[in-house]
Amino acid sequence: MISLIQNEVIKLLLKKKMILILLLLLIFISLFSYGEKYTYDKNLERLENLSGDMNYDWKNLATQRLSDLEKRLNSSYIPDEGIASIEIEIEQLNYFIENDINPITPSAAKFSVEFVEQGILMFIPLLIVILAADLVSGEFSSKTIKVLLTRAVPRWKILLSKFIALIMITTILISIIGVLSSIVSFLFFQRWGFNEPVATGFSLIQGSLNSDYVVLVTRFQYMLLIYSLVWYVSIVLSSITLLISVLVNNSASAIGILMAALISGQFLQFFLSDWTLVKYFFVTNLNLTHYLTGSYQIIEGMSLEFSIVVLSLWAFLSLFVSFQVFNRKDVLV
Amino acid sequence: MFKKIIWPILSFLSISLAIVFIFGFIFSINIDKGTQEDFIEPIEGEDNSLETNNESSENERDGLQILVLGDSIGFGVGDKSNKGIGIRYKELINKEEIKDVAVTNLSVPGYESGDLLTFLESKQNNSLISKADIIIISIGGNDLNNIEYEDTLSLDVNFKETIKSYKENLQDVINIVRNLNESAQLAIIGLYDPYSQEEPQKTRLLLEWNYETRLIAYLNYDIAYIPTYELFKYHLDSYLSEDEFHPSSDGYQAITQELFNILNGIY
Repeated sequence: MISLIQNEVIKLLLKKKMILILLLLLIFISLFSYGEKYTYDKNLERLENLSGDMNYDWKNLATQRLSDLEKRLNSSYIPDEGIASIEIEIEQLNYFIENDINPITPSAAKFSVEFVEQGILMFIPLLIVILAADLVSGEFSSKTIKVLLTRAVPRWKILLSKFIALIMITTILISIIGVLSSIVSFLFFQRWGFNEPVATGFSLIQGSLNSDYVVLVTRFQYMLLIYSLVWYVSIVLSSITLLISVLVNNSASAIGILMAALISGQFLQFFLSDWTLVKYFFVTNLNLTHYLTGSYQIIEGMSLEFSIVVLSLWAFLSLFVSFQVFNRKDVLV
Repeated sequence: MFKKIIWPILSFLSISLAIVFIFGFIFSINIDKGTQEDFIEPIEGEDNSLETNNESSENERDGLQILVLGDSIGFGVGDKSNKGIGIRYKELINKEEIKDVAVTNLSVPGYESGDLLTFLESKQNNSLISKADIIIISIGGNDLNNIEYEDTLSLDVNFKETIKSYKENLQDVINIVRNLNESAQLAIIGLYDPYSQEEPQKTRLLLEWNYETRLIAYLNYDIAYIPTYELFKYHLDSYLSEDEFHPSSDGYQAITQELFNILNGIY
């Protein structure tokens, strides 16, 4: 079994598409971090122009905000709900003032989180599809499936070894994205920023944002959380990709079907958001990370647990179907 | 050779990373869950404060009740004698031989109009509002001051959004107050311009802001608008405190005098 997995991993690694994926990553990361650096510099310039000859003084603004918040906290008439979020903002501001960091300065850690948050809907699924779409269908189109199946191992073992190999490579790919985006953006921003405090744990209750139980974590921990969610999404996507790859006999149509599903999913979210069935579609649930940041959700009644359950169901179902189909499939090539 | 080295490294890396990711995954689910389970607590806290407020207000039933709502200017930031508009107004009235004036200041420095609205919606101070005879509201300065912008275009766009929500919030605030208290005299303090000639762009927006506030005051029953822009215009040096943003003691006295003149006329 292990030698089967080893075989599959080596096959995945030695294909040219691994280089393609790395190249894509490198190009996108450098482009985006250059863009972010550029807009940041422009903004600073504008702010300095606006305030005349003086340097744009964020520290003054931050201290004023801080004393504002502290006064607000001392007022005995403040509603109880507000206190926790004020305390967290004070703590964040204190950190930035003490360490002499402008809160809006881009940092490597911030960038790598933003990168996957933006990429989780299209870019990361695309990488997974490139990686996995021809996992089984490629064997059919290049007719190597015959050689594979003539070995004295049951079919399910072959598919399982392919799946495990895929999960291993996906895991490594996600961490490569993290490491690469941190390093490349560090070259642009010259700042790691792993220790900055980040607020997380917002939740939407009855349509309004509730920040009572927000937790403060360092940006490094936050990055781990976000990447874990991205990893989970990628595993689910690989299972679905595996299913398509088993069902279809050539890689081109496998990629086509998956990209169509991803893109139509995005459209569905916007145009059919009143239709409750949409929230059971896997593409609608891909954006797990926004539950941690508390951003606006498009469809009512979706929560982190809900999305995770839906995604798991999709993954299990597609694994089940792909094993059934692969076991019974006639190999006619 | 390459294949032999890469396999153990890869398998070790992927397994350990997978474990890290699984832990992170479980942790992030727990973060999200924790927030929803604990949500019942703050409601109990609200009830307590409601009771204490009822007690304190029942003691002050007789005489004239002045209530100040709003932001740092209502609170009295910058006033060295810590009187604020409410107590200064009380002093002016006392000169006219009216005794038994009680001042309650519910202002919170830093409040924007949205904060004031949620503050009123929390219903903690309903009894205070319903018993007040004069309600002084100072709000909007932080809304205007906290508009974020990069250039004049984005300033204009963001200003339009901010003033729109400000108007809605102010109207809602007035509605809440009026529902609780039909007879009280309301007074809204206008904005002054602490920047004088430095930013003509902002002055224009501030005047537009005051105009909208005035309109709202005009459209509602029994609301006095207290202009401060004209008061401060030629006296910024003496009317502003050291932070060059909030009024000084003299500035507060000028605002209060204007309020008094508008409500009571000159004796």
